[in-house]
Amino acid sequence: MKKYNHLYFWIVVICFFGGILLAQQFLKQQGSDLIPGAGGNFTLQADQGPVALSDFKGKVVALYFGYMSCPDICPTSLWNLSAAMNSLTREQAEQVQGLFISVDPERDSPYALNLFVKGFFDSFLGLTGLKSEIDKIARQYGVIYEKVPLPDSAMGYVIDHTSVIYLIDQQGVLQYYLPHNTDPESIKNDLLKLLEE
Amino acid sequence: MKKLIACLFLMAPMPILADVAAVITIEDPFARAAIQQQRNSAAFMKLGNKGADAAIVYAKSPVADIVELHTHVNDQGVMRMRKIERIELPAQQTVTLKPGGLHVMLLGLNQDLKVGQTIEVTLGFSDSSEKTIEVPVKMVQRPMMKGHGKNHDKKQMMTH
Ligand SMILES: [Cu+2]
Repeated sequence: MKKYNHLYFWIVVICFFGGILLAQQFLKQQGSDLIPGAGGNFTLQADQGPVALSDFKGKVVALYFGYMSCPDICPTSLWNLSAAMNSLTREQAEQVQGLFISVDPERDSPYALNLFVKGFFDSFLGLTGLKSEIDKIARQYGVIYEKVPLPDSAMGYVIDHTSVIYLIDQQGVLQYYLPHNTDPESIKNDLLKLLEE
Repeated sequence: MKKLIACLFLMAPMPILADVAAVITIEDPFARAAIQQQRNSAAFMKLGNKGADAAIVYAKSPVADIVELHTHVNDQGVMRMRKIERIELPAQQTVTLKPGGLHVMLLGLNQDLKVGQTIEVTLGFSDSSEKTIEVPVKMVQRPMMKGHGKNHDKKQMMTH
């Protein structure tokens, strides 16, 4: 009986320290800004029909949240991503799926979104859905967005939002968090790291 | 006599007080390309003021239904775009309208803005003088280190 107690003790000890080591490895990989456990599957509407993150298992996914009326922040991010995609070989680029989630479903239809994103890169997909669905995904990924009325502007309202490119690996696990205005070369390098894994 | 001298002193600066439009210099203007369903865009530029304090109080362009003056505030990673009444141009200073900051917002584009094209933008100043400029349309992105395009950024190139 005593012998077994010892065994249990060591199992507990090994699991505990092993867990800490694994957690450290995990956090190192993610970078400081990523909330541990962030990410996960979702399903939204594209012009072609419903699209789920899990549809792209085996590919690297670059995910961005924004809206089409955004004159500056969103297009810059999409151009940065498309420049990174254009600097990959065709075979590599085929292994990467760019997704743009509109946080402005009132103004951005799946049809318009599709044309919009294809203007940046052929294979990009534009997604949107009900506000409740988008809210849930935003929470999953740590996206902050907020509809703000601008009564003095012809825009009527704007959507304040974080501007981050999320890189998700072939297993659907969120790996990188690229802050606003990350240059195409850095995006490319992070994509290559995931593609080479 | 004293009054006359005082008057002369007060009037002395008058002849140099030209139109604001005449003392504002504009460098590197560009507008963001807008294609495929994008009905909004923005114009950016560097404004120098060789005169007294002034401001841009409105803008207009034949390619947009409405043109507004906007700024962006980066509030801990949350981008907040807001309309502003004027863009201040302090005396003898340079003010830069740039992506992620102050911009001339083009709303309701009546045409695609394609790279290589030039659009007309008119700035209205605080003394109601105006200046119309030709603004080239560009694709705005951070330059690549190897830079296939025209965007060669030295600092970026050197890190390679
Ligand atoms: Cu704006």
